[in-house]
Amino acid sequence: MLAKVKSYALFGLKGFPVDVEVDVSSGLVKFEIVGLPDASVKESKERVRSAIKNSGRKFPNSKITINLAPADVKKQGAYLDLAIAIGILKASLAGIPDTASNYVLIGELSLDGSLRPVSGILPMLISAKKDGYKKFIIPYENKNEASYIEGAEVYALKSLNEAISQITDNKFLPIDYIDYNANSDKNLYSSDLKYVRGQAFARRALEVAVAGGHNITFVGPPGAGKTMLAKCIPTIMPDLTFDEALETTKIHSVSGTLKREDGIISTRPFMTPHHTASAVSIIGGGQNAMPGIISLAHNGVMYLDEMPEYPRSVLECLRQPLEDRVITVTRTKASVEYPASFMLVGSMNPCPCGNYGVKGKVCKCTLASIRKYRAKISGPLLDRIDLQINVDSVEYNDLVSNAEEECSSAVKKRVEFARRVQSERFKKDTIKINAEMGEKQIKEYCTLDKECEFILKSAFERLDLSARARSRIIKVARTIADLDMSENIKPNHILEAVGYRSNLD
Amino acid sequence: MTYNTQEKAIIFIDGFINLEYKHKRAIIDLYDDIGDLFDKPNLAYEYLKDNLAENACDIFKLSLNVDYITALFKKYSDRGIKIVTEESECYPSRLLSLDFNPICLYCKGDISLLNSDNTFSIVGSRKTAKAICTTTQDFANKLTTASVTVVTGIASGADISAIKGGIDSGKVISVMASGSDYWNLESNRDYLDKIIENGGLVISEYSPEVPPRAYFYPIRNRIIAGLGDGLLVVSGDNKSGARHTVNYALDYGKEIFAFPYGINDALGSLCNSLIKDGARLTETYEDISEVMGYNLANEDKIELTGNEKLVYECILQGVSLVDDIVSKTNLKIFEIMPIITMLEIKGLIISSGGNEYVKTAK
Repeated sequence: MLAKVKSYALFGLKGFPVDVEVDVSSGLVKFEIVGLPDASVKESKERVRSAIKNSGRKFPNSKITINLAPADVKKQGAYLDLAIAIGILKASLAGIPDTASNYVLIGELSLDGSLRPVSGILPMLISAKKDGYKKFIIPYENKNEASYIEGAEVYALKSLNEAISQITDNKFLPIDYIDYNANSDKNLYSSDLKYVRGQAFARRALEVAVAGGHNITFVGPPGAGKTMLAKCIPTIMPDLTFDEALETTKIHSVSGTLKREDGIISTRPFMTPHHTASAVSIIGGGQNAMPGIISLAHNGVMYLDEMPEYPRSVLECLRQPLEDRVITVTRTKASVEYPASFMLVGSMNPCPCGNYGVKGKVCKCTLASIRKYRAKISGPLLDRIDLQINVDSVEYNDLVSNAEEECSSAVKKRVEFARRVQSERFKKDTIKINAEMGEKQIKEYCTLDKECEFILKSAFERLDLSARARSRIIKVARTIADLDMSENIKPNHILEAVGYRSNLD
Repeated sequence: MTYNTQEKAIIFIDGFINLEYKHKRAIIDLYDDIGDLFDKPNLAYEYLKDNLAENACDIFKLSLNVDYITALFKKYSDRGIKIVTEESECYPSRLLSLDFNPICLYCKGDISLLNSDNTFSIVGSRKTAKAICTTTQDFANKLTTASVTVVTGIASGADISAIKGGIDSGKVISVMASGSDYWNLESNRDYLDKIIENGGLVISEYSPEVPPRAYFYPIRNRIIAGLGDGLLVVSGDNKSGARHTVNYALDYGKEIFAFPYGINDALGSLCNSLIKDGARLTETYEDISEVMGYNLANEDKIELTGNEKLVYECILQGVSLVDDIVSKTNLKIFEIMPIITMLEIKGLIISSGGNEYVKTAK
């Protein structure tokens, strides 16, 4: 007899419905799965057979044909197991009622019949809800992730038997909907600006960078505290809104990096790929066009420690996503667009030995080697890094002093204010933050009066700035003006913005 | 540009790029009037036969014809090169008296600068601290404003700072260590064009097709030392090439000036040892202008506002780190940063690397 149950599969960040059609008929004993299953789906034959048997039910000794519709899209992963098992039992008249087709069944089976967690639950459920499905049966361990979906009836169950009794007798209660609250876990960040001693200059630069979403690079000798500063960035970023949190969680869910107990990611991601990471791992790719680090850092920070140590090809790959804030990963089997709106934070030494221009230290590098070191970060990439600041090594006395520094939450308040000003300003535009301004928006929102123009001009002449620094300075000045609650950019804002530069280009 | 017979003869001899300096010099000295070379070439033939391999004389003989000479001069004029020979009127008198003076100077730009009334050389290391570069630029600027022609090289660091300071006035001579065909190998090649455009001068004693060699640089330094009335050493360690320039300048009896450096500063050990040996310690432009008798540069009086004065005083007292200025003045960092940039624009302070600022020579 024929049975039909529903499941979902993933394509990029979107789920699409899969009809699992099972036909059990008399004939030579055979078990066939058609409809473009990949290896992991084909293997589900064996898992399903054992799971049914070990759940104390009878696996039909007949000809079984399973079709996964739509048949022209490749399906991968083990999450179709549950649907296949229920379908077989239903087709073999093992007492599964027709209500089975009311549920979307997602889950991997283990040989003893229990349900194992799968990755990508959140994006699948979001798509399914949009497509009009209401009732879901998912593995118990995916419960946290699924509890943020409002208006869905989600049953998180532990085994095949539980799933069957839910379908037949409606035995279980759906999981509770959790209201998203970003502040629920305040102490999740281990860093805080109050632990950063001294560094008034760097702290301010950090505040400006985060307020405008500007990318930032720290240039300084080893041990200056560059990494510590970078780690504080998520703590002063505005809280993730629910939509942002969902977006980020979706990506992590798809790539399988979501911690089961987390459910939804409510803290800004802070990704630190090592400098041996390949371009594919950072950008995204692989056979199935999986998201890379830049997408995992979506709505958060990607920190590249010792930037010149990264292969140039990897760094150059960042240029397009930094501009467009999305990345399209294209492979033969799939072409998927992932969001990649992250703040790039880099750190580097002033020269290979680290002592160039540091007071009281002797730099042993040749001029050529310093050039070569700095040239690894190309001009176009530097153009996208609005703040390039020097970080000084901290005096011993500063480190042991007990003076209380301002804590992250106080800075965060100012940042949030500046962000509100920006979202108000860019209401009609497609952008959200100052850092995303193009020439058009700069012209519209960053009008400079005569005095500002004059100051900017004399700064360029006197301080030997490169022409490409101009729009960077103006964008940063706009953010400083926002922090200062000023509608127009004033001379002081320009002057301060000019101060946040290093001599990298 | 037209050349007389003497000049032509010298250019012809100097055109043999494989002929060593001493042979060129010897051939020129054979003749009382070098213009006779074309009429009486036998003297040169004999010298070449006696002192060089057989084929050298043959090449010389073969070349001594109208076609070759026309082609040679066309080659130079096509490249826009003006050649000043030691027989020429505009050959710099400062070089004429030197031993091993350059036979020809291949020039691009305004050759009248070669005999400027006042000339001053600036040399230093490629690895010069940023603050010193800015100071050098200021010095060069003041010198050229006082109608002094600045002589230097083209390397990064000290040389290019001197050029940046003087380029607008056009009173800059950059001395190269290779033929003009190879000038575009220099990393600061863009400045060469700018120098020429602005009415400055780029010269080399090597004919266009001579590629650069490491040992040309110290030899070239004698021209830098010889062309200037005085020499300012802005940076350099004891192994620095600036050492050669200083030695030449001492031989030629020029006045030596040097920037002072801190006790542990390796980038300036040459300067300090020069000062120990009697070079003039130079902190301000006046230190040079007094000795050399140059005009004083007209300084605009710089007005400072209250907070600007506060921060400037701080820096004068040696509080150089921005973070330290914050704790010393009790101003907020976002109040201090605009002031610092303003003081920088006004030319009162400069960044000495990192977020440290020091006062300028003003």
